[in-house]
Amino acid sequence: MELKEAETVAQPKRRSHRVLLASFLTPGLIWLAAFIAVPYMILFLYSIWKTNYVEIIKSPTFDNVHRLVTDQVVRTVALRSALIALIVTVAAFAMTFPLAYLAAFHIKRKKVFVFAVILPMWVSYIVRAYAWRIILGQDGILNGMLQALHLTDHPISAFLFSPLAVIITLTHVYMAFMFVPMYSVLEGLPKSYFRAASDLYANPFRRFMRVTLPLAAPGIAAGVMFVFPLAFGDYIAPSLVGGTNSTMIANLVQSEFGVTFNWPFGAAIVLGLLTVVLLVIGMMERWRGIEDVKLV
Amino acid sequence: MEPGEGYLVQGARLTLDGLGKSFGDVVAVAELSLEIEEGTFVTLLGPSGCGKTTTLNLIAGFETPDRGVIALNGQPMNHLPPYRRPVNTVFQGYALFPHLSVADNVAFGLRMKKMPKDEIARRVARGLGIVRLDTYGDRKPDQLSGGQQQRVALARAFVNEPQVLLLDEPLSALDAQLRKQMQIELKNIQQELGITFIYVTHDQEEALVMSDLVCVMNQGRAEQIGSAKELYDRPATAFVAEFLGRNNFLKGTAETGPAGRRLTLWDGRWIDLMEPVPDGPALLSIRPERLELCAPSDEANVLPGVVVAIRFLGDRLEAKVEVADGVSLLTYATDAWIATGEKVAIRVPAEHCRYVGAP
Repeated sequence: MELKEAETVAQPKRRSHRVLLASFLTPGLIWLAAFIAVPYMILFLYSIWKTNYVEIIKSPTFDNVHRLVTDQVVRTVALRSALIALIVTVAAFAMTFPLAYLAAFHIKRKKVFVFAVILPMWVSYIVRAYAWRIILGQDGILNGMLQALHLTDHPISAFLFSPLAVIITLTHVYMAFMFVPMYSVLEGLPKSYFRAASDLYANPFRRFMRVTLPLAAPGIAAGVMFVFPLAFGDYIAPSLVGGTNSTMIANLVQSEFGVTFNWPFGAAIVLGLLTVVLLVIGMMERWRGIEDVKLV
Repeated sequence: MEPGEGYLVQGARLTLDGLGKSFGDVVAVAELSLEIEEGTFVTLLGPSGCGKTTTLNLIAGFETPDRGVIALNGQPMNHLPPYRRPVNTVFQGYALFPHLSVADNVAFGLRMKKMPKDEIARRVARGLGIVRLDTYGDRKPDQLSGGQQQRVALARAFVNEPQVLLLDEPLSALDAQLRKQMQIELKNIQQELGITFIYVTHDQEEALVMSDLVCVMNQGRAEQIGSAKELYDRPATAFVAEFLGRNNFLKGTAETGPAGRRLTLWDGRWIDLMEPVPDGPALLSIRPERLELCAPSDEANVLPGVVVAIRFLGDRLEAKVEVADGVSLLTYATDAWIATGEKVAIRVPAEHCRYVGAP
């Protein structure tokens, strides 16, 4: 009896709860469907079509996929993009992990420190990319300094419009995305883990390798999941500070859509890029072990 | 001293000499000297903030003392970092490494000491056997219950065969029943291994049940050190008397009367003294179970009063008897005849009164 009563009372409540939930979720779901799901479906359709000059032939074909895996330019640019993204990810990690570690464990005024590290993130990407043009250019700050120090007698032109410039810019632009997740994971680790490691004879180095680093893994994985895809698919840095030898995959997409008018092949490249990114994310997810099944 | 050197020696004499530690203006440990014989189960007992956990952290090496010496078997170890001290800790909240399996957690210290693989395997198996978790080696800590995690933490510490095992409120996260069971297990394990245990708790029952020696701490000092029975029967200070079990206090003036030493209370009432008590204001403590309810009489050490409250405790009644304005004594009665408002008297046996200092 009691149970039934409870049910009849609970039912309308639950229904109103659902209505509320639906009303919260609907705008987001509509947004996702209209601007993510539908565009990707359209991209997929384009990727299996082909062009005849400016005319798009709407019959299924594997031509694009075939070209994607065999085309020399695509391969070079994709490999370069992956390599640049990898270097950027590693560089961002190498530079921000010590900062995150310091901020989490050794800095007294954490908030100020963290704020200082992520402050550049609030400056427009374009502005920061142009800043690097000013620093790395022929008449730039770097060359000026080198000349003032008499390390070189003529300006070095190799800094700007090079893969190095792209790497520097991307690392700078995406560093904070690496820092924030690592910092928040490290900051949340109970002190007792480190004490326990020391207590169990681990010297500072081994404590770091056996305890700190593995426990920071979820933060590192999250950082990699942000930085690698963002750098891999970046368009602005190679356009502004990169030269002809630093074209990246997004520039290729842009030229397929905007210059050669081969929308189907452009779409195929985008899907290929998406596949690589998803693979990286999948690997990171697996590495940080969030799929661990809880038995009890 | 090599970090792992100690594992063959079981149990060590630990000396704390004039230990002091402050955090800014807060004095955590004011002045602590302790001599702990090998193989002893010692409990540091006290309210939160009394400095007991800081003392443990100083012994483990997580904190550096401002003053004083920590020595093992006479060898000072102040300068040793935690990872070189032959002591291990069972942490409050356990601090099991979440990324490692139970077996890897237990093996952690042994691996850090670079022990041979087969020896590690043997010790891990034995350790998990002792805490009855033989089949749980492959699980992750978060797949275990609180009691099981507690036992893993214990095994992880004692497989290293430390000379001193430090335990920081290890049972505080467990429910009452499991706690009782673990108290017995801990004591058994300690006796089996012969390791010196230093156990920190604020739970007096834990302290009384398990310890060979209890050190009651208050405001960074040791108030009294002794066996549980000594502390209970002969508290040295008012703090110990009040902190351990229930107690009554009688405030008065000690002097020599016509019939010998006595504590003058109020309105010409007094109780005879057996303990040596210096002249002047004095505070006596007496356990509720030592007081006797009786009929009012003019005998020595009998105080008339009125029952002001009664609590039923199952096997007995607890009666609060007001013997003077603002002075009440707790006592127990096994009979049900007693009632609130009743005029009674309480006999205060002189042999059970303890002098606990001036008020």
